[in-house]
Amino acid sequence: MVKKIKDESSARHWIYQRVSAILLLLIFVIFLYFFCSALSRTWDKIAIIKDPYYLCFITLFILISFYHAALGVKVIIEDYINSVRCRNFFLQTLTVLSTITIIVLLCAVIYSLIFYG
Amino acid sequence: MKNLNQNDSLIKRPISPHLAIYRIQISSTLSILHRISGIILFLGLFLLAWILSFLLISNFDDKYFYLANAKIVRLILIFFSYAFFFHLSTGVRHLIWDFGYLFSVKAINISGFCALIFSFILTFIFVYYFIW
Repeated sequence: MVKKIKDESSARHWIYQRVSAILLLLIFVIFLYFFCSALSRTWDKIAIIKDPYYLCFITLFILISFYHAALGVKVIIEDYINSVRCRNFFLQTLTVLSTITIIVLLCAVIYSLIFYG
Repeated sequence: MKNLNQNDSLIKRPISPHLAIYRIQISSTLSILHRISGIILFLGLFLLAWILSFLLISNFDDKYFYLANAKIVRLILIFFSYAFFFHLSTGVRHLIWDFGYLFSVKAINISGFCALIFSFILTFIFVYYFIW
């Protein structure tokens, strides 16, 4: 019988960290496969990112990386900061900065797709 | 027993010696370096997201690409690449443990060295083809 994990946040955190890690591994391998065929050693070709498919792929990679990284940094803050007030401040800062960065990135991607094709 | 004082900080009690007495081992070294590389990559992700947002809005204007050829930029990219592949290799090692394999002391030491060598190889290949 499988017990559903609902309220055990540490177990949920552990699973989400591993699931995001495996997703990142898969995305990175697929990303390298497609990117290697298109990219040469000159920096001019970096504009391949303008291609909508590559752009969406890279954005997805960055978003899942952010989630994985935020989970990890949350554990580090909880481990090394003893004061409850200080810990809460850093956790809130982490959430706010990550959210702002993700929103800016998504807006930039949507702007690029709409105005530059 | 209450562990917090009135200022919400931990009550200082005597603790057993730890870092000063234990011999440095590959397992402990890779563990702390995995954490450190994670923090470095988190900061790098912020930079990457903001730089990419800026480049997307400016439609990858050519005048910004002359900066990409600077040696210091390439060195920074090599540094972040090594952090990424190191974190990837030691992360895969953690995932293997999570599935219940390679728990013996010998396997831990061998997998540690393999992860280290693997991270160098991946970084070298990535830098050779993409950065240098």
